[in-house]
Amino acid sequence: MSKGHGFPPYGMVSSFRPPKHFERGVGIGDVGFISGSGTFQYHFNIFHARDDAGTHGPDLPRNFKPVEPPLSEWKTSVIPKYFKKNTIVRSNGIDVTRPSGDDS
Amino acid sequence: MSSSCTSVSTTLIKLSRVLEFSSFAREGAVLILPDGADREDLLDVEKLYPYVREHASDWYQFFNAYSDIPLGQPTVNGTLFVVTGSDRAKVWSLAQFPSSNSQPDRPTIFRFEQPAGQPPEWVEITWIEKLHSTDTSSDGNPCAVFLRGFAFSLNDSSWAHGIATIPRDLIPFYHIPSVPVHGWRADLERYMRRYRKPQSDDLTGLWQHLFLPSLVLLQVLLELVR
Repeated sequence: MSKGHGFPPYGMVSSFRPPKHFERGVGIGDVGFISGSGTFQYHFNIFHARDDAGTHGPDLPRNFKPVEPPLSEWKTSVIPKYFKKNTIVRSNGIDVTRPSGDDS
Repeated sequence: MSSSCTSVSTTLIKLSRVLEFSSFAREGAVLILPDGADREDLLDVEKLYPYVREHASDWYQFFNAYSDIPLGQPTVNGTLFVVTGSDRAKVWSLAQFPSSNSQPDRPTIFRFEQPAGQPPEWVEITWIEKLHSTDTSSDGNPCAVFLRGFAFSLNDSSWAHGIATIPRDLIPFYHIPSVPVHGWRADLERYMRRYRKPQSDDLTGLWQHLFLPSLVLLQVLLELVR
């Protein structure tokens, strides 16, 4: 948190996720809540149309309509490989070593 | 999440086949990203606020099934969350140790091992909670390892207008992350907990614990004023 990474969900096990959401992963515009077990419980995305099949959960709010304009017209920042390969993120007070005998 | 969100430091280390982690902290977590992770963020978040304000009441009613009576698992005011950014990885491994299991007089030790051509595994020297991307339904797909966004709530009159009042005993709760996580005060807390009687109004066992990033921010602020 102090580095500004955000909330670390514990896995992504959610019964509400439609196929396209699995392919994309949790991202901008998703609405849900964080469960007691630390997972994000996804329900719908505010940038997708009501009839955009496979993107929302099984139900939508009665008065749902997507936000305008479409996401492509909003200012976003996309940084591929923001975390480089073999990054270790660890909380304070954890030491890491390579035990002797490691042959890599 | 088991309150593993202590302040985070990031280190880039060349992974070998075996890594050993040790800690005297009360609680902690390690996330390994073998292939790294991509980041995306919405920059003009504040432009979302009027839209969310317009729809918030309908959304809370939806999450509470438009019911006049409280659900067995209600969605409590202030818990709905709009994601405005995330870091996603297809391959990740997570280990964490909650404060309930760490001991002040011995370190928490665990290893990350990945034999050539085989899936990674966490090896417990002392008990940890462990999870790999291959263990989840997201295996092979991008999975958010960090989320950014905002929670929103209704004022009392808006809530009362369309949503049943949630009885106190149905309101979930959350154990605030331990503070401090290491040092003599952390050790003292653990010794005290060992001999402390269970509280008569212990609420453990409810279906869900309230968890908001703001609570983690609270923990960070508490650390700063130690």
